[in-house]
Amino acid sequence: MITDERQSLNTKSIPAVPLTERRNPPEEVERLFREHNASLLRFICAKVGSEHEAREIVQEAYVHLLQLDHPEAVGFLRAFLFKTAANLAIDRLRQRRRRNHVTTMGDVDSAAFELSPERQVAGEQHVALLEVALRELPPKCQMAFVLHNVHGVAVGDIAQHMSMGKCMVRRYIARALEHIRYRLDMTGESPRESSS
Amino acid sequence: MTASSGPVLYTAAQRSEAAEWFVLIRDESPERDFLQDWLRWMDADEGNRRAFEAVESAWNAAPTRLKPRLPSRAAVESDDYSGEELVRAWLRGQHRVPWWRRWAEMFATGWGATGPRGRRVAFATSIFLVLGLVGYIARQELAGTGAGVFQTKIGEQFEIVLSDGSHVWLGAHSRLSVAYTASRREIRLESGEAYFSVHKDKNWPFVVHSVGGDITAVGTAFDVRVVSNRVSVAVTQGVVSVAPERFRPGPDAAPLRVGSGQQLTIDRENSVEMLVVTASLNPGERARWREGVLVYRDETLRDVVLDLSRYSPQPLTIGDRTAGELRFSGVIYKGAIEEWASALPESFPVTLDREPNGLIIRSH
Repeated sequence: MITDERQSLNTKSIPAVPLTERRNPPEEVERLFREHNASLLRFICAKVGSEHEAREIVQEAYVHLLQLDHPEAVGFLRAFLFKTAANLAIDRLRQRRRRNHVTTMGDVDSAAFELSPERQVAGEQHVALLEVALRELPPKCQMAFVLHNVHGVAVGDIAQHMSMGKCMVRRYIARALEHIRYRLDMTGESPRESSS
Repeated sequence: MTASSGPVLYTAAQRSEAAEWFVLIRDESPERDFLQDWLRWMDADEGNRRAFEAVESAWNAAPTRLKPRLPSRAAVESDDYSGEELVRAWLRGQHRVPWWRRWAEMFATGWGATGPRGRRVAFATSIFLVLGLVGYIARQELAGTGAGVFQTKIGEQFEIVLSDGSHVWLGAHSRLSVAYTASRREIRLESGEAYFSVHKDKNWPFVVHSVGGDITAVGTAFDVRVVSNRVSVAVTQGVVSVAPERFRPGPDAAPLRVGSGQQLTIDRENSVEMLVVTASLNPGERARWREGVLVYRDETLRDVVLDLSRYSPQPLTIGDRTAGELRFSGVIYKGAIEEWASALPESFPVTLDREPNGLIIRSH
């Protein structure tokens, strides 16, 4: 099972050795790092919602890649790197949920949600503005967005709850997100406020 | 971060695409692997990458601590938003929706009570609303890149987010470039029209260069329209100062100041005329082109037609000088320019000829 693999990967204590100090770091991995590190970081950050945590995960994924006995045996190293990092991210999200018992539609209203430090800081700054933006949303849009963003309900579960396709749910969430960004842009809020 | 960022962060179109990608990327169990396509999109343009980061930070800024309440089941069920258009386009529609309610009320209270005048008003209102919906905002398409030169086609428009928090809406058939230096935020409007919403920074002037002169703003909102050899500035908020190109004020002469609700026109011959718009007028009306509503006040038919030709797929021209010098005030909807032209002979001494190379307005 893939899950078992992930579990073992996660629990194994991996020494955090800087890439440069390893013997013969595969050139391929270095190239990957140069070309895709920024995207990989965004990719993971989108999933876990914390820049700090994303960096840890990315680092862990590289270490894993470097520890492969035969990296050349892995056909698409880039895809493998992203997949590994994505799996690590999913593990972290599961841990977080286990601690907070979120995600079942039933107890959405009473759900507690752990916030990353970025979220807390950002929350202080734009509460009023974001509240307005959120209230303006068309009801379906608002529903999908709040369930996904605030309560961490998966797109598939929202689709079931709202009796619509996953594509529709994603579209509503994307439209809501676009609108919130638009409102922030309109007030000259720095676009990278919370990610740098 | 990644970018050697210029003043242009991203366009509205990039922001919307970024939001779609962001939601896909978050999915734990996607139906197919989007990674390749997403990476290609991220690498295609610096603006894409910046828009993605911006959307991500908006996601993380959402007010989780407020525990926003979910909308009621009834509200969700009666919601007809399809997600096709952007939320703000939907919101504009919402503000107009009460037209049917107004009609329903009109019928409910009875025609007699309202009288013939009321009926006319209701009719006019409905025409206004329907046309308003026809002239919806054009889909914003990305023509330029982060480099800072933007050009729109006929009928097209888009919005640009700048790194200092200022915004530019570039109108149809227009060309604009952006260059920020340490001392000034410089914009050049080469042709067409643009509306600027400027982020306040009194140590970093925002200067728009255009035919006939420079317009300097601190923190304000204003519209600049270039029609042949004239530039016209309409201020909707705050104050701008204008330095006409050849009209050089002496050391004792202050630069021209144009305030909210005022409009200044400079032509290339540099005769400067200040048109003070009376207080009862809506200072924001000139900016309504962004919603497809074109408002003209006491302008020559020649200038109106030149301006309209930035929107009309069907060429529209003035046939003779007399027709061109007629003066026009009124509202024209971007999606109904041909209808407007065909109704023109009813209120002006002109004829409209449909010729192979387009519509021609001639005096008779």
